[in-house]
Amino acid sequence: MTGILLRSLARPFYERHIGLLAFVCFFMFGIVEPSQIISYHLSLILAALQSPVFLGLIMLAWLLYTLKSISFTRQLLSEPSHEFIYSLAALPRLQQLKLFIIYQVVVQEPVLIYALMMTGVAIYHQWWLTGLAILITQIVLLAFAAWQYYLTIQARQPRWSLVFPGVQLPAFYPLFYIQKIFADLKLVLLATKIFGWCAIVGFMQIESATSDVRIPLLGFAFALLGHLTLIFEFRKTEDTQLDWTRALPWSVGYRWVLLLLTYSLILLPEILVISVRFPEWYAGPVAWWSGTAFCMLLHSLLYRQTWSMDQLIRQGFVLFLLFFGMATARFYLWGAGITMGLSWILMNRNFLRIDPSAPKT
Amino acid sequence: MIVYPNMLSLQKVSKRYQTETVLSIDQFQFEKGLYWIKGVNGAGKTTLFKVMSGILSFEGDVSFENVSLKNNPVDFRQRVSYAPAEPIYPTYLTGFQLLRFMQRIRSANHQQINEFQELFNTNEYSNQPIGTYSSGMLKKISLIMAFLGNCPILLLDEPFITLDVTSVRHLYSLISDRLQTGATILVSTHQPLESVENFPCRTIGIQEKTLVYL
Repeated sequence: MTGILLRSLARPFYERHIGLLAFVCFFMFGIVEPSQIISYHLSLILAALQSPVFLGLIMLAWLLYTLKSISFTRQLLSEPSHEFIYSLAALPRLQQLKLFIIYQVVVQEPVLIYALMMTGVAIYHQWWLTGLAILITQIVLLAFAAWQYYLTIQARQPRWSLVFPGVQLPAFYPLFYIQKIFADLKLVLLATKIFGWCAIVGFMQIESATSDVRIPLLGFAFALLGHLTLIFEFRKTEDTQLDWTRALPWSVGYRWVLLLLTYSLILLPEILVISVRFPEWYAGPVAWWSGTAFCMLLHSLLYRQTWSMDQLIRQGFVLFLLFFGMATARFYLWGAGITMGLSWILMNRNFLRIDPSAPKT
Repeated sequence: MIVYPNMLSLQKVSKRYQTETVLSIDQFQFEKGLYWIKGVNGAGKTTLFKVMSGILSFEGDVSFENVSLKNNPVDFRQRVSYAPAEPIYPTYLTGFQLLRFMQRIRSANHQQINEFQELFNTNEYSNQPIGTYSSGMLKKISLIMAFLGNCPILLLDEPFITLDVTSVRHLYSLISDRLQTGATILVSTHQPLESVENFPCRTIGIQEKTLVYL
């Protein structure tokens, strides 16, 4: 039974997130000389163990990872192809929880390994409380995730959920996407926005952050990277639940504008944070222009006959590096203009040529 | 190429899924009236409707009153309304939201929504999320969406499945009303299609990937 669970849930998790994990792996191990990897990580771990703020940030990242895995798993469980997993509800409660804890251990393996390394170092230095805190955090995260899966299987709907009761927005196409987030992607939204806020506010701690708009934009680049899942889910919704809108009397240009409006709404929190924290008026418009261009190009790149999350992650990282470079070189306005233009060309060229199709997950 | 100005016309329409050709129609014209599209499972009925409504890409062209789907995609889509066999809508939206959305797109008046809702008895649940609907309830919402406004071409894919007997009767009366306005209505169904008063039903089959009169 564990094997089936791992094959049907854990494997898709890693397949879907291989790009992101590879990226993190590269940043953790690829940028250091092989001979210095151990000393580099040892000093990184020591710094984390000695600074409560640093350790807190690491624990926040672990929490986001767990929330992401819960969100992904619940999404899979809602698909007809995974309905058979609901038959686990017939097992005794403890057995179900045990299965889900094993599953979560597998999914959380990269985080667990690093957390165990940190615990080892803490014990070696006799920082018992810190070591214990790390262990307890991991156990709580594992138990929390397993409990969420258990509730999902029992009632086909978890009791713990960020619900927005009775919200019925006007019948306006961009709001269909927003409602999609509130209905199915609340955890993804929460994780994306927390990550975005941390990235922007983190960069704003740099000394020249209030006089040079490039600094918040660099933080914004990381925040935009965090939106890859939302972009993918939007495109997927377009081809599954919204494919009937292809028969509506809308030009491709109008559809493009509607998408632009959608991403403007999605990026509003980050744009507001930048506007409030940066003293000059132009910071908000610059963030809007460059941020929507980033999302629009990635969305338009997905108008292909075959498309997948892996593809999007790869393209997302390339665009992130370009965005980062353009911001550093003060080329953000023109760069975003070119990006926006490219997104229009791609959508205009491909939208009517392709058929709605299920993505490769 | 021969152009039939007042007809719904298909010219060299071809549709392939990967390497498999599903439809290959050299020429076909539909005059105004009611058509029963027949075909075995997998013959290509749904594909034909999706091609004609602009959902799927294809080779060739479909036109109506000199308006081509390829050259004037917006104008053509304004004239065509499609009700899918198995409608899929966002489960988090309500039926009423969808009806309001379509009302605005088709420039229909609100009175029409009320009339159709009353006819199909959807008032009771249309404010609930679509995810809570049965297939019959969803079918009714989808049919109302198709009939909103005054599109001269209606493509109804398996409109009778999952509908209760009363709703089937109401659907026939709606089809009859729309035929009186001069519409072209294509209905695909495995059940025998009754002739609507004063409007003979012409039967068309999909055989060997093309359309033929039966």
